[in-house]
Amino acid sequence: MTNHRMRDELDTALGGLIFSPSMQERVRARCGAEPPPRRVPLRLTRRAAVVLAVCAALAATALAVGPTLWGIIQGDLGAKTPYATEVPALCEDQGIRLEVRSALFDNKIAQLYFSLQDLTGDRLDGDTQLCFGLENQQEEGNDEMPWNSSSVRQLSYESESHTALFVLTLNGWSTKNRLPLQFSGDWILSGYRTSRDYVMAREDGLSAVPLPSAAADNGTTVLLPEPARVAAWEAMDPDTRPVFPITAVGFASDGKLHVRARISLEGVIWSDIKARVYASEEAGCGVYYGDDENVTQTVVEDGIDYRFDSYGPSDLNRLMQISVEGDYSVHSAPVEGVWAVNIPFEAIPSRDIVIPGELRLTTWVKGETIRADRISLSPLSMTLYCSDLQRDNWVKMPNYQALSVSVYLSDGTAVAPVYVAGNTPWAAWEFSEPIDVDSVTSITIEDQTIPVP
Amino acid sequence: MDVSKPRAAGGAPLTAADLERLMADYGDGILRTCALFLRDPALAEDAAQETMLRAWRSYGGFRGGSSEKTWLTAIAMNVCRTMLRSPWRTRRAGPEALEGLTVTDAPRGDDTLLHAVAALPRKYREVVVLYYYQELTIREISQALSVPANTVGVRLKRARERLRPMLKEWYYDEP
Repeated sequence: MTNHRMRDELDTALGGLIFSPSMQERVRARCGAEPPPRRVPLRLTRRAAVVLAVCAALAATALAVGPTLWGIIQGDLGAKTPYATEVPALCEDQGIRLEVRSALFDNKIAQLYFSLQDLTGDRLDGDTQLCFGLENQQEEGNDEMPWNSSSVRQLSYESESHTALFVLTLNGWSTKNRLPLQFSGDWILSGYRTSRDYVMAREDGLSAVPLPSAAADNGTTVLLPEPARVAAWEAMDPDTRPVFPITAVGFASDGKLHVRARISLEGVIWSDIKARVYASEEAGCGVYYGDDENVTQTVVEDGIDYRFDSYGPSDLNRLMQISVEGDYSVHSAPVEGVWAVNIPFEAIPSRDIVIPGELRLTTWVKGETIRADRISLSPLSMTLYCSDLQRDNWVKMPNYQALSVSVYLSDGTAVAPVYVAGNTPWAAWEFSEPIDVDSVTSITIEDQTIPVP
Repeated sequence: MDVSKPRAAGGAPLTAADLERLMADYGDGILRTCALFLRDPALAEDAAQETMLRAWRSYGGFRGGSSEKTWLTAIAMNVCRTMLRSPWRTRRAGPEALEGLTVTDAPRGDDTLLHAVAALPRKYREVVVLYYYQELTIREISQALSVPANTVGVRLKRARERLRPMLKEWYYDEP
């Protein structure tokens, strides 16, 4: 078997798998929003208590005066507004009130609207980082994952009332959940910014020859700024150049790897800056790991000199990249506290329809199918549940987004819901306007019709 | 002011166009490589996106050619290995999808090779995927997986031995 033939055959078999526009968009979105400096770790215990870290960089929508918070929520919910429930859940700490405003649990998708209000100051704005957790204490015997993914989006910031409004969306919400969801937070940062500068060891010509060094006030060795690097940075566009630029990088006279950065904290209220080296375990190996341990910082005239105690000239061939990375705020310091509320679970009533016979749907892989078992209909959405999802060692991937779905009503109307989310065993489509579930007479998926008794 | 973009080697800022190029040139291949290795297309989507994100964060010195592909593939394999160690992996599809599964009676057709590769143990599967699908050299595979080249050669040989009976109806002309 030739290389090329096998590649061609595998490409044919996997032809449906492409790096889709939606995947590309998710990558772009993540590249444009650096992760916050703190994360709540994900853990899963045998009793299925799950803590999910929800941290996001949020972009503001402008709001100075105008609609009330509920008006903004209504605008976001649209036709789903009548089905959202008010949730009496609030708490306060460190002068910031967390209040859950509204919740909507529709089959596999849950949306929670909450606000943060600064009662004592002006520590919030339209560019706020949040670190919150979600914990769901599941009932005995329920091993189902409570949700698949989550996202947080800021809807507004009102400067007069110092109130920021957010919506948390959970996809893949487990419909077996019955106990309240605990929504908790411990860290808020507004005015969030990030900066990163780096040098590629090989491409930048890093060598083992010691660079000009000097003794700091405390006697430790530091690098002197390299005039060429400083000049190059100064020549860059001030709006796009790194805020904390590297002014020298290499081995100092003490035989250790150093990187010196210009740290100007004018206008900066809070910062967390680190130096990191990316190196492989063996020279010539193509796999690199970030290492920010064993780093000694020395304050210098215009910034900080970082010494990597674990790296000397003999490690040169292992080095790939040296970086100086910083998160900072031009608005306020982080607010640390304890905020926790319980959110009762109240699902929109839905109707389950068992699919008779053997309805099979194609997947990304040619010749492979899965079985559609049942549909759950609510006034807002249709959720399809499938089985026969594993074959030998392979988990099948249905192509739900490509399915043609129509819902027929007793008055002859045909409604085409729009795909919104899905995972391996389920997919959800939303109606543009709520429907009367009892008036549904049939559902067509691709060219197969399912009667609804 | 966007100060979060990495700077490419030489001082030129990394552009959105570079990210687009990475995704356009390598996205499908990386995604399918991850799918072949993880045997789970849904998980492969997460892995491929994570690969592009990590590549963007440390991009700077890799310009075209096999070195960039090798570098991206190495990142992808690291991501995949991390995912295989994660407790979430076994819960990806949810018990409702895996309980009471029955093997289908559908005849095997074009997916014979796919399932033959998927049936290989992990250490053989990864060298087969990188050699036959990514078309990397032994040396490049050695770099991507952080194993000696000799080990890659031995694993490839043993993988072919395992594949041969599964693909006996195929023409097999390699030495």
